[in-house]
Amino acid sequence: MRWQGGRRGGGVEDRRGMGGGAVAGGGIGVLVLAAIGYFVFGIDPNTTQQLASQFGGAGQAEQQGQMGSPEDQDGHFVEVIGSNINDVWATKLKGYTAPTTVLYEQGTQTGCGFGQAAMGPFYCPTDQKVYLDLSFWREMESKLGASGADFAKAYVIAHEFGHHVQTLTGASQQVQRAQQAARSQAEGNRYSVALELQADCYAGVWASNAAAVSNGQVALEPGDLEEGMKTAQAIGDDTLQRRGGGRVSPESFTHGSSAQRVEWLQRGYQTGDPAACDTFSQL
Amino acid sequence: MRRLPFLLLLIAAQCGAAGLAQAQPWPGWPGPPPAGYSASATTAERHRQAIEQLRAQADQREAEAERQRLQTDRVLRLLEGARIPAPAPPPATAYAPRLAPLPPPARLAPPLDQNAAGVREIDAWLSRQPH
Repeated sequence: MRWQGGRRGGGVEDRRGMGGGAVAGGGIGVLVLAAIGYFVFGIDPNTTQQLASQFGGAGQAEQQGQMGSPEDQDGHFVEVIGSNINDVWATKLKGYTAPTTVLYEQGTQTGCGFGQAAMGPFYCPTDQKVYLDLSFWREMESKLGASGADFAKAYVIAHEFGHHVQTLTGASQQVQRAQQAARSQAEGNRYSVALELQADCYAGVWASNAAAVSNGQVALEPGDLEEGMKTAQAIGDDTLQRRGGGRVSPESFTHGSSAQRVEWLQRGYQTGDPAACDTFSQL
Repeated sequence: MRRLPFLLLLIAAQCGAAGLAQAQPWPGWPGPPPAGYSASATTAERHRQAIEQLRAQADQREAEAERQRLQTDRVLRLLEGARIPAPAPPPATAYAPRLAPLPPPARLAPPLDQNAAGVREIDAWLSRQPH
């Protein structure tokens, strides 16, 4: 994949080396306040903590990393690919706004709770940020049997940006409402699969348009699409369940089977049109 | 001019008779209607009373509707106050999150060999009588 000459549009928040920042009950500041309240004024520490939670947003300190352009190769790659995905969606979706990409290690605070590397890359709709622990690239290759090629990494990033697009279009919110009204877990999972496959399709739409919006600076090369499909194949629910040594149970799928993921990535790539990504009509 | 008082008396008498008819509704069969009975005045009086009754009923129902409206408002406020805030949307992952493998179950220590050397002495020492 060609990407080194691509536009660096920023929008990356680097939290690597900051630690998890997970201090139970609101951080050191709240503990100090509680101690002062207790020893000086005789206020119950629980009361202080509750008040801090009310005024401080659930008592969890929001982490803020360094905004800008990362210097290292991995950070550079994420920035260029993220900028290119934003450029594509700006031409496809009226009113598109770019998400922030957060690089972290091991664990970090997010608008959706505490994010951990074990979750893999994820998007949080509450703060509209894509969270990447770059160790997932090694994991994808070594533990999941996916490709280690650049396009395979970019596909996963584009999938998360696809979730951001779904938040902007309202599809995510509709699915969440449908899941809350679902009569069974299996029904709720079907909505989840449709949402995930649409994000795969959106990743294909990006790949199809990457070169056009960057004058060829970001472009797929021969064999790249196959690497992406190999990754889609590796992270299908049936493949993951089989690798985990468990029984394959389609009713528990949340991301779609390997065949479905490959199919929708391909469909997005071949059409280059988000309108072709209506995965919900096949529910 | 001498006829004027007579005319006034006549009018007064007629008005008095009408007032008497209003005050004396006929109780009905048997017996003839009382003197000065007016069927139309009685009907009008009956309609007036019915309208009064309907008006009182309407007032009563309006008061009941107002009471129920206030009660509904109170219940709605209680429900709103008790409502748990909607859960935050979950993060959307690229693939099903990997679950950390469970730690191996703790292994129980093998039972002691009760016939091993020193076991009986130790048991005897542990169960010795306090001094």
